[in-house]
This record gives sequence, structure tokens and C-alpha cells, in this order.
Amino acid sequence: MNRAGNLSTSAEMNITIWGPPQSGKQWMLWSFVRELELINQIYPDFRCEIFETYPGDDQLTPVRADPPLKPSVGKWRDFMWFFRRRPLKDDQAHHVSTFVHNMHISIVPGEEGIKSFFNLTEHEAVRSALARSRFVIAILDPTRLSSTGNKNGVEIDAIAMKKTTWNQEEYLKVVERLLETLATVRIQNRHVAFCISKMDQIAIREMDWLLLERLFGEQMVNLLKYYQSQFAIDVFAFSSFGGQLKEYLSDDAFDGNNWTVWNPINAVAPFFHFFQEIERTAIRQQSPFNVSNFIFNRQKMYVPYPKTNWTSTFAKENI
Amino acid sequence: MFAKPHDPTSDFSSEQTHIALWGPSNAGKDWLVSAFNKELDYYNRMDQGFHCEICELQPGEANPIPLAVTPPRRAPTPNFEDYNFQFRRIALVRDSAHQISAQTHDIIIHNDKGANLIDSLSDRITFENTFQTLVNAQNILLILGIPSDGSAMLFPTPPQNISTPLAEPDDFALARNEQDSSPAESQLGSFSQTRQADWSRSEYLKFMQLLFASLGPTPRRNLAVCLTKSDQVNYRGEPMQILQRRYGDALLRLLEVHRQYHKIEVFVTSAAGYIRQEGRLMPNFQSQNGLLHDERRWAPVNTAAPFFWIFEQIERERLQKGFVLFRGSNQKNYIPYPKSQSF
Repeated sequence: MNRAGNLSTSAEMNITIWGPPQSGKQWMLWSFVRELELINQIYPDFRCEIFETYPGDDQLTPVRADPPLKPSVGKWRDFMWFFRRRPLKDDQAHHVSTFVHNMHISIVPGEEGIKSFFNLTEHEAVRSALARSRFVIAILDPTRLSSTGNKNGVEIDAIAMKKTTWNQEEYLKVVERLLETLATVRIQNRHVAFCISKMDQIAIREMDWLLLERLFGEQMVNLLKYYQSQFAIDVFAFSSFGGQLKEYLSDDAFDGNNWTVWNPINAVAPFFHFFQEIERTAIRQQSPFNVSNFIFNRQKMYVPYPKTNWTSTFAKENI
Repeated sequence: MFAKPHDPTSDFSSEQTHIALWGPSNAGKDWLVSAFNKELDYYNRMDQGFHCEICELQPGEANPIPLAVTPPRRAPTPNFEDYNFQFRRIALVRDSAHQISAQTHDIIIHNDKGANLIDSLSDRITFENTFQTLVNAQNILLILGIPSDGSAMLFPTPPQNISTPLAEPDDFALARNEQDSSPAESQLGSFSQTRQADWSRSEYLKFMQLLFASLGPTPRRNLAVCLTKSDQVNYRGEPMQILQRRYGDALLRLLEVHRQYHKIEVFVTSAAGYIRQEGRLMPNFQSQNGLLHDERRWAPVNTAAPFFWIFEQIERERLQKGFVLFRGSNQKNYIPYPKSQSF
């Protein structure tokens, strides 16, 4: 039996999650799992499943959403997960769209991830591992922007303001170093997803690139556009908490058991985007002489992953 | 020809091929050997074709003494010492495939004083004098612990000369004295006093550079590199990828370069293994006292793989030297060892 039991898997998919300290890297990963649970309740076409394997153990164990309540220990973390989109409808389109992804997810410790750009020898291992990753999720935390509230009318809550803040120029400099680091290793079809986190704490409701520009400035957009010639760069916005969890967590009466209020929004987006890119490429690369390819146009049949319009989702949540 | 009952002293399978096992103090050498012995238990239950055993060869003892299946409970030693073990794969099925695959190996463990070893990294001549046995060995098992400046330790190692006991004990020094004494607690005092500091990334790199310089390009050696204590760090994935994260790019490149001269394989191991508590996976190891959390659930991960890999390299070479008419069929009939587990 192979590692994935009866599942036929794609090649290992290295996903590295990078972001400044406390930008929400761990929360994003676990919110992805939690959001899949919620999506499964309303998704009529597929069931999205995540399994993990343990060192030396080939058994597949379902991954349960586990909120990372303890503060991060600032250490590198690896996860070996399998994602499967299992069809709930027995037709050709759904079978064509069924894939398994063998994910090797790494969370880069925030402080070291940044230091590695400036201290080239001491943190060389971290920088090098980051540079070799084909799929990168870079988390941008707008609650850490020191001047956003004044410049762009962004409201940042009091708790976030107490923590260390960066201005747009500092953020720009770090992101530039990140992109320079990625550019040191040439990898075909590299995807970088810039994900704006903690949107439940931000009052702006714009979509992706426009949101990036309003929060992080025009220069940030220009920088990312410049690097688009080297990598596929996309921008997403998400909230790991959703509309209500933050309020509950800050409530002393919260007993830690009522996780039904945990309703992440759009944390799945970068992952779904990566899966879709891989799957569409795999279908495209299948032999044109394949009979089923000839009879059915697989590319047209392919069922894309669901997309969340997070601005309207937030609007509903806030009602 | 091979249908007769197997006698390990009657054919090439009994050739004395030495394997030098080396690692700095506190890298986990003893734990690796004990865990290998424990894993053999598992393979003996799963495989009806062979019985594998490991014995200790003691001076003045004619017969090898089977090694007890227990985790090591002893303190590191400040002295240089070598220990000899013998591994035997005994055929339980009397067909030619099993007979030719049943072989014996001698293993020498070099236990060195950590502080002196660091001194030996100053130049190549001092290095070669210190590591003479290692440099002359055809088969080498290198044990690399967690570097002191590694970024992923779940339980960071306190500085040298600490007073609390910590981390995996690392040598067989007290093995014999301890057989009639009780357990771990009695050892913890000496454990804390004698513990050596872990090597840094640059020290590991320097050691490997000097080792390869001393080995030269010929003869072609079998070199198994074991990344121990992997339950105490968060790295998962391919062994070379984990090596890069633990020790950096320079060591990765060094191994890649020397793969053209030597057979080099990297293994990620956990001698303590893992246990599940409250639905979560956690290392079966207490960093405070260097003991297992639960000895009954002791399940090492991948500790047999580096030994098996070296045995297989040696055995295939032995079969190649056999009677010319049978070389082809011997290689074809040979039953390989179980493969490395994923980490």
C-alpha cells in the first residue's frame, strides 16, 4: 500500500506559509481546515477531505480543525497532509475534477523568516528552504500597519495597536526581500499568494488588488506586478476568525468549547487556487490521444473550486 | 547448492565486515542502537522468513550476549570507548533465497569525548589521528544530532554545565555496571554532570568537510547519515530536505558533491518515537530527564533503516564475489531488507 492508502496522489506539493510574527500563519492553516468543514455542509458537488500521516506511520488520519490557542513557539513547523475532493455526483465532470494533493506544508517562524532576509549566513537554512518552495503563501497583516488608520480610514482595534507596528515602507522592504529571495531559485510555475489577514478587524471592503493598494500602498502593488513576470502572483483577503470569534475569545466567560462561532472566511482561497492550477495543468497535459479526452472535452468539463465573495459574506455576518 | 541448513560460518555470509558507527556526544548513538534492537522485535513479528538479532561482543566472552530490548539508561562518559556488536539475520525458511540472504555483520561503536572531538576539528592531521578507525572504515554510520543553533527544537537545549538532567543519554559506559542497579533515577545525577554541549551547525559542517577530505575519492565507501532525535524537531519531508533545514545548504551541497565518489544515504530517525495523548501526537520522550514517557508504547521510527541499508550494500557486494556461475542468480534471489519509513 502506498502512503495514501488507496488514493492516487499527485507529486508532493510544497506549500510554505510566510508572514511577520503574529500575522496569523497558524490560524490561517487551521482556519483552512475549519472552513472546509463548513463548506462540506453546503457543497452539493464534492466533499473536501484532509488526512495526515505521522512519522513512520502510513495510516491516514482525518485532520480535525484545531484552533491554535497557544501562542506560537516561533519554530519551524511541517505538516504532511493529503487533500482530496471526493465527488458526490456520479457523472463525468465530477470524476474529471477529482484529485488528491499530497501537501507538505511548512510554517516559517515569523521572526526568523524576516531575519533570514537581512542576516544571510545565520538564517541561511530558513531562507534557502523558503526559496525552494513552489507554492508560497505570504501573509500580510494590515493590523500591524502603523499609519493605515489615519491615511486610509482603516479602523484598527485597540488590541492590535498595542503590538509592534510597521509602516508601509517597512512592509514594502520586507516583501521586496521576500520576492528577491524567491527569485534566487528558479522554479517553474511558482505560485505566490499574498493573503491579507485579519479582515474582521479592518473596515475596508474592496476586492483583492484594490484592497492591497488601499492598505499597503501603490508601491506594493507595483512591486508585485513587477515580479509577476517571474511568478504567478495573486492577492486574497481572508479572516481566520470570521465575524464573531474574536468577540467570544476576548470574553472572559468563553469556556473554549463553543467553536460553532468559529466561521473563517476565505482562508481556503489560496489553497483552492493552488489546487485548481495543478488540476487544470494536469488535465491539459493529458494525452490528446486519450480516448476519453477525445470524446469528452475534459477541460471544459472541469468543475472549478467554489469562490467566496468575502465582502458580501462579511456584510451578511454583520447583519 | 543453498538448500542445506544455513551455517553462518561456512560461506561468504560470515565474512567479518566492520561497520563504524560514530557521532559526537549527545547525538544519540546508544539510543539508535537500542531503538534498532527494539525495531527488530517488530520486524521479527512481521516477517516469517527471517529472525534478526543483535548481540554484544564482550572481551573474554566466547559467545555474543543478546542485547536487552530496553532503552539505554546510562550517563555519557568522558572517555573514549569502543563497543562491539554483532547483527545476524537468520533464515527461517530453507530455500535458496532465504539462505543467501541470511548474513552476519560486526558493528563497532566509537564513543568519543565530545570536547576533545571539537579540538580535533582544528586541522586535518589532528582529525585523522583522532578518527583513524572511522577514516579507515569501509562502512560508516554517522550520527548527527540536533545542532545547538538549530531553529526548530521543540525543547531547546540549555547551555553546557547545567545542573538538571536532560536529553538522550548517549553512551554505553555504564551499561555493564548498571545491569544490577535500578533504573534511571540513579543515573540521572551523573547524567547531568557529564552531559556535553551539542555541536553547532558549523562544527558539523567542519567535521564532514574533514571527514570527506580524509576519506578521499577512493575506495568507494558506504556512508549512512542518520539525523537523530527527529521527534524533537518539527521537520517533515524528504531526508535531504530535512538535512538542509537542520544543517544548512553547505552540508547539503557537500553530500551531493561526494555522492559521486561514495554511496551516501540520509535517514531521518526517532529513537524515542511518538505517543498519542488526548488525540495529539507527541514525542515519547521527556526532555527534563532524558527518559521515555511510556516505555510500554515505545515504538522507534526508522532506526533500523540505516543499518539495513548498510547491511544490504555489504551483502550485495558479498554476493557479487561468490562463485561466478551463481552471481546472477544470487543477486536475483537475494531478499532485500525492509525499506526506509517516511518521515
